[in-house]
Amino acid sequence: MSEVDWTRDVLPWAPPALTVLGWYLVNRQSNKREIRKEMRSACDRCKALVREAVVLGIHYWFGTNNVQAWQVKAVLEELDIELCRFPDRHGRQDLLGKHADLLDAITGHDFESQSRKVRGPTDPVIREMTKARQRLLVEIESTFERHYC
Amino acid sequence: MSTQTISVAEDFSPAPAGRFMDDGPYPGAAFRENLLLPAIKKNDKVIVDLEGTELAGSSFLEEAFGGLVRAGISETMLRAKLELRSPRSSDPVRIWRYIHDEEMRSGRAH
Repeated sequence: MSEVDWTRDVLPWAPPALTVLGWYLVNRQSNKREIRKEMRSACDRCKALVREAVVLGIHYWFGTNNVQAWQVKAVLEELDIELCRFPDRHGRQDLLGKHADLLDAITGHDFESQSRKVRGPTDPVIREMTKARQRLLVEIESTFERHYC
Repeated sequence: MSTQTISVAEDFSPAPAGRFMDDGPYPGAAFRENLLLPAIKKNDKVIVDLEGTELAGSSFLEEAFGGLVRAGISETMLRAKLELRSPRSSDPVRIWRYIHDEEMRSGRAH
C-alpha cells in the first residue's frame, strides 16, 4: 500500500474543494437571507390584513361606512391564506389559533343576523376585537423572531 | 360502515350565515337541524366539506357544530364520526374548538 503524498495527491484538490465549500456557504447564507426577506414581507402583509379586518369589523359593528359582512370576511379569508405561508413547523398552528380568536371576536355573537344589535365603542365585542388583534399582531412578530432572526 | 358526505356549498348554501333560524335564510341552526344532526345519527362517518363556501362566521360555525354538543352528541363521538374538509386551515381549528368549548361548558368532559 503506497503512502499518500500530500503535495502530489491532496494539494491539487484544495483550490476546487475550497471553491465548492465557499460557494456552498455563500449560497446557504443568501438562501437564508431570501427566506428571511420573504417572511418579513409575509409578516407585514399579515399585520396589514389584521389591522384592515379590525377596522372593517369595527365599522360593521358600529353600523358606519356601510361596511357589509362579506367585506369583513373577504379580508379575514385573505389573512387565512397569508398565515399559511408560515410552514407548519414554524409556528403556523399557533398563528391559526390566534387567527381563530380574531375570527371569533369579529364574526361571533350576532354577526350576520338580520336583527344585529349596533354596538358602541365601549361594547365588549369591540374590546374583544382589539384584544384579539393585539394578540395576533404579537404572535406574528414573535413567530418571525423565533424562526427567522 | 356507512359514510355520508355533506357539501355545505351544494347541499346547503355557498354563503352560510347567521346563528338562529330567524337570522337569515342559511343559519347555523338550520344546517345543524336539517343536515348535520340527522346525518350523524344515521351514519358511522360524516364528512363535512366546506369547499366552495364563503368564510363562515363564528356565529354560523358555533351554532352548527357547538350546537351538536348542546343537542346531546359528545365530543368523543364527534371525534370518531366527524371529518372536516376545508380550503381554509382555520376552519377545522375553529370547529373543533367550538365543540370542545361547548363540551367543557356543559360539564360533560371527563
